[in-house]
Amino acid sequence: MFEALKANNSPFTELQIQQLQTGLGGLDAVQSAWLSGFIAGRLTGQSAVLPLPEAVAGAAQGPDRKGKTLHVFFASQTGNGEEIARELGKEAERAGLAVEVQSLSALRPPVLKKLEHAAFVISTHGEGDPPDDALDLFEYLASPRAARLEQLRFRVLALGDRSYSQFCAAGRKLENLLLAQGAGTFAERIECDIDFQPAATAWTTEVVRYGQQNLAPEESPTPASPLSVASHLSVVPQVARWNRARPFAATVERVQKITGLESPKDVYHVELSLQGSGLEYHPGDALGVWAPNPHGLVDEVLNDLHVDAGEEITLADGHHTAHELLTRHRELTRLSADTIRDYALVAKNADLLSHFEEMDEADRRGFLEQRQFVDLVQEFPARQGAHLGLEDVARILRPLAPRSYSIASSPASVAEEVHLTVATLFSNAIGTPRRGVASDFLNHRLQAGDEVGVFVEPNRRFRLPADRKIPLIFIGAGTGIAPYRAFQQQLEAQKEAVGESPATWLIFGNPHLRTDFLYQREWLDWRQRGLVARIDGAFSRDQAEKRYVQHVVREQAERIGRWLDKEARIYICGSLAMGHAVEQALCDVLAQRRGWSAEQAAAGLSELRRQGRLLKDLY
Amino acid sequence: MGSSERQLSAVEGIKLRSDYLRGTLLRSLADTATGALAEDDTQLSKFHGFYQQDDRDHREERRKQKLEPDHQFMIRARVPGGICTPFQWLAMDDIARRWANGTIRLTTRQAFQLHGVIKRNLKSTIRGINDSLLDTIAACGDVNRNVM
Repeated sequence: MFEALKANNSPFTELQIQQLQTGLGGLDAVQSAWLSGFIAGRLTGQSAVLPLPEAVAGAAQGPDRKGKTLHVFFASQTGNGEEIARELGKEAERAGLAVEVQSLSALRPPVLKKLEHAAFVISTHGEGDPPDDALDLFEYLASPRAARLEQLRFRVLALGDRSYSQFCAAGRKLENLLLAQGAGTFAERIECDIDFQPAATAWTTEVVRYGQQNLAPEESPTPASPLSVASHLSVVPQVARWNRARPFAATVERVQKITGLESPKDVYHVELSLQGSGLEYHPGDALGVWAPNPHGLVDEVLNDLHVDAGEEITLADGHHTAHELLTRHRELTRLSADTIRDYALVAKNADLLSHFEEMDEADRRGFLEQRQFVDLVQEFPARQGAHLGLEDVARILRPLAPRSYSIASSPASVAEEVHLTVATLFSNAIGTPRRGVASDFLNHRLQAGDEVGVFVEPNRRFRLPADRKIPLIFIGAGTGIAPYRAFQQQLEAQKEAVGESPATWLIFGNPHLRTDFLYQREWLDWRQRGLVARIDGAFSRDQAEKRYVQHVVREQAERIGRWLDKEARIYICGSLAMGHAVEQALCDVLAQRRGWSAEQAAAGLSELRRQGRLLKDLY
Repeated sequence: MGSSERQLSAVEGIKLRSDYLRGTLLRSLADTATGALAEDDTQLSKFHGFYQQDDRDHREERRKQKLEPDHQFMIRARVPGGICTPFQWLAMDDIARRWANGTIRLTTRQAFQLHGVIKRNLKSTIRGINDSLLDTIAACGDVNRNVM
């Protein structure tokens, strides 16, 4: 029952929550109810030993007793899913429903078998992968031991990104897996693109309406019953004053290039001030950044499309000039398949359409990644007779979305600041170099004193352990080093405060040691002072044969084995491709050290993940 | 020994503790996190013919970039009697272009001197010099030199 406790929905710290979960997790409902009465009694000065009140004894069978509770489950890497789920929890409670909001990882088979009314919010990552919190459930539902779920009525909200080909694949898969076990949907699945807010709000309203029609409102429960405690926990609003829709205007303090002369990479260290915001974050979290499109690019697009910059348009979200619309409200630098198809139709460019449709999956991905909308318009201009007005532009282009960066600092070290490690994204499809909107904004357009809209995206799946002695292996490439700098800053502060910090081992990869070891001086200093036990660099282009972090993992098989024997946790951060390669290398290490087959090693790695000893932040 | 040892320079202590000039050079050379040697090893490397330096012009810039100084090495090859064969000259020319900064300096002590060799190329450079039947042993540090 303590799974629902979170730092942001209770007065406890992360550490206290962990202690409560370990100390009290094994209590059954009657014991918990007794304890709750005991504590309440102490607080009001009554006798400590209370008889079991009737309401509590009855509630011991749990909130599911009459099947009236609406269960909301979320699984997403970025925290957007949780936000939507909690919003639904709040609305449902307001409508008088009994509701419980939980991470999908809490949906174990015994709970699932009794589940009757559920709403799922689930995101998709990389090439159609489900988030970590969904992996156990997916595995169970696909296995022969999966129970029949005829009693279950559910609805899915799938989060995704249309610039990936497997859009919302995890949401679709969840629905199919549940349907295959006999469960039924009470309404159609909703698939949301990166501008999920409007669809999510509509979905929330509809799910609450379903609850009002099909789940009798609960009789007013006694305040002491675990039921009300559970729903209370699930709907306490987050303290977050700032979010995606209401970002905080952070002041830029410093923008400093941190790759050396002659480096093939353009990486910057960006320091932002959060002073006065009350924004809180933990090492491992990401920062959402709103970046406007550059004026030059907006002018170029408008010019290519023969749209006047001052032309005005009224849309659901307000009244804009064409220039304003493209600067602040529409995505110009990241293409999606839908944008290409819609543009080809309006521009009457059949070549583009057939060219795109004939590509295979991989080519299509490359085509999308290497091109911006402006490249598309110049490479495949509108044909004779096509009319492309501002309304078409507004419809064809997706709404502008914020970009996420893994935070590179710890509040314990930098107080009211947040640091980012940003690599400029480059593309060049038609002979004109282009840059990604946010990396260009942060690295090349902002100056100290400027403001940028930001909000915290919590990532509870990528945190330091509460146990201060667990050794930590940090594996990352490129800007994947960012969260490790945050972790190490935190550990340094911890060392100063309580005198102990775990052994850490950094395995870092980038092209050249001389120019691309990000934050090198800080890491060498930590090693010098004994805060970092070991650093291995994999500098791919410093020798004839390319050398990457996965090569280090294989070379260091024995040492990794020894660290794992000491209960080490392994973190992986960086690109999806690197993540897969490292996991494969770790499988090889396990197979070699334990004498396992490839299948056994893969299962061993899954077990590490399940135990929270293999944590990933891949993009 | 007492009073005379106190007057010895710090380098003598490093030499004494160095296991006959080995120090931790092997570990320093294998360290993939830095282009530098461990501090004591920078003294011992001289006896093997290489000197750690850094590019002063970029020190401040690299400090801001949170990068360590741009460490490079100078390598010296002692030439007995000051005589080198055409084959050896061509070999040094090739090594200088391939691993160093493309220049060869001839010193007043009749040694070849190469600059700008980075740590991971030390091995290839010294091996190349040895293959030409020249060597870098005792080309720097407090050892005897050629006399002109």
